[in-house]
Amino acid sequence: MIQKETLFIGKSLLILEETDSTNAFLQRILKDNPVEGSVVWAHAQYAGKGQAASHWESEKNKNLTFSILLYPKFLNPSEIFYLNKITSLAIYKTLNVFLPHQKIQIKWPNDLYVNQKKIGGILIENNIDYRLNSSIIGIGLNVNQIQFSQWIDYKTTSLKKITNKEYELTTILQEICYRFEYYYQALKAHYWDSIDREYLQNLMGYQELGTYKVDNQEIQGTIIGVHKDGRLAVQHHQEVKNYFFKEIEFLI
Amino acid sequence: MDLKSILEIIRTVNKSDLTELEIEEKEFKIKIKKGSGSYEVIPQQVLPINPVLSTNVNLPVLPSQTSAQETVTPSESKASASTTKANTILIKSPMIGTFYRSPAPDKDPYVKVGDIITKKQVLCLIEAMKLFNEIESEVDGKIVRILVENAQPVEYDQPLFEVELI
Repeated sequence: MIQKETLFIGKSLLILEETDSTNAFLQRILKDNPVEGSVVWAHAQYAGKGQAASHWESEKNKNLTFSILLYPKFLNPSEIFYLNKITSLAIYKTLNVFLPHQKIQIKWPNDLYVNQKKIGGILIENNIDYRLNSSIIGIGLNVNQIQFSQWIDYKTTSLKKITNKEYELTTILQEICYRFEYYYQALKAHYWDSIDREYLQNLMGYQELGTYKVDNQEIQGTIIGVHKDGRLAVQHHQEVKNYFFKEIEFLI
Repeated sequence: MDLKSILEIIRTVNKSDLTELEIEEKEFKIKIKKGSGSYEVIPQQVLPINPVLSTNVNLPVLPSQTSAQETVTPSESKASASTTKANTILIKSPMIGTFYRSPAPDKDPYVKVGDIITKKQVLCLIEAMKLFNEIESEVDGKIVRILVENAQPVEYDQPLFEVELI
C-alpha cells in the first residue's frame, strides 16, 4: 500500500498503550495547545465512549480507537454537524479502499455500517464559547476483532469478519487521516454542496422507503435530506418532518 | 461584501416593512432586526487564501444610518451574550440541542448558583445529534440564575445563565 502523506492530520501522533478514552485524553491536554491535526491513538481504552452511557467494546490491539484534534474556528456553532458529515465520509472512503465490493453506508447521525452491520462510530466533542474553539473527533473502527459480546455480535462487524484477512492498523489509520484531511480542507473552503451531495449519496435510507420508530410507533418513511443543523428530514405520506436524534429510530 | 453594500441593505430594510433580515454569504453573515432588535454583524473567519476579504471584521454599527424613531441596541462583540441588568449578562445557547448541567448523569454539575466563574470555564453541555458541546464562559463573573432545567431541549439563542460581571 502506498504511504499516504498528509499535511497536518496525524503529523503529530501520540500512541498510548492504554487510556480511559482518547477523546478524554485530548480534552485533558487541550490547555497545552496541541498543534491542529494532532492524533491520539490508544491500543486499548478502558472507558471508551460509545452511545451515551454505554461504552465502545473493543479488544486490546484489535481495533482502531483514536481522536483527532481540530481548531475549526471558521465554523459557526450552528454548522458543527458538518464535522460529523466529513468524518463519516472519511471513514466511508477508507472502507471503500479496503472493502471494495461491500455495501458500505453512513448511518445518521454517527455510525458506519457494512452490509447492514455496524463497523464503526464517531463521537465528536466540541468546546464552544460564542464560537467553535476546538473540536475532538473520536473514531472507533472494528478491524481485526471477530467476536463481539453475544447481544451485539449479530449486528456488529469488522474488516476481518468480512474478509477473513488481518489488517495493519497503522495503514488504516493513515488512510483515514488522509481522507479526513481532504474533507476538512473541503469544509474550510466551504464546499457545502459537494459535501452534502456525497454524504446523502452514501446515507442509509436516503430516497428509499424504510421502517422507522417514532413516538413508539412504526412508520414507513423516506429520508429526503439532512438539515444544516443535523436534523433528519423524513417524508411520511405527504408530510415532511424533521427529527432530532432519539426522536427517530431506524428499524433495520 | 463592503460597507457600502451593508449600508444600502440597512437603508432598504429601514424603508421596507421587513422586521428581520438575515443574509449569509461565504465570508460573513449579517442579521438585521428592526424595532427593539439589534444590528449584528457576525464576522466569520476568512480563508487564508483570500486575505483581501479580511477587512470585514468588526464592522462598526452605524447609528447615523438608522432612522431616529428606531431604537437600536449596539451589536455586541459577542453574539451569545446580552446585557440584562446593569451588571449582569445572559449567556445564551449557541445552538439547538439538549442542555445538560453535568458531564455525565453521575457527575457533579459544572456550575451552581453563586459559583464564581472565570473566562473559558465550562458551564454546561449541549448535545445535538450526537455532537457533545461544552459551552464555555466568555466572561468572569458569578452565576446568578440558571434558566434551564437539566436535560431540557434548548433553542438557538435561548438564555441559559444569568451572570453577574465581576
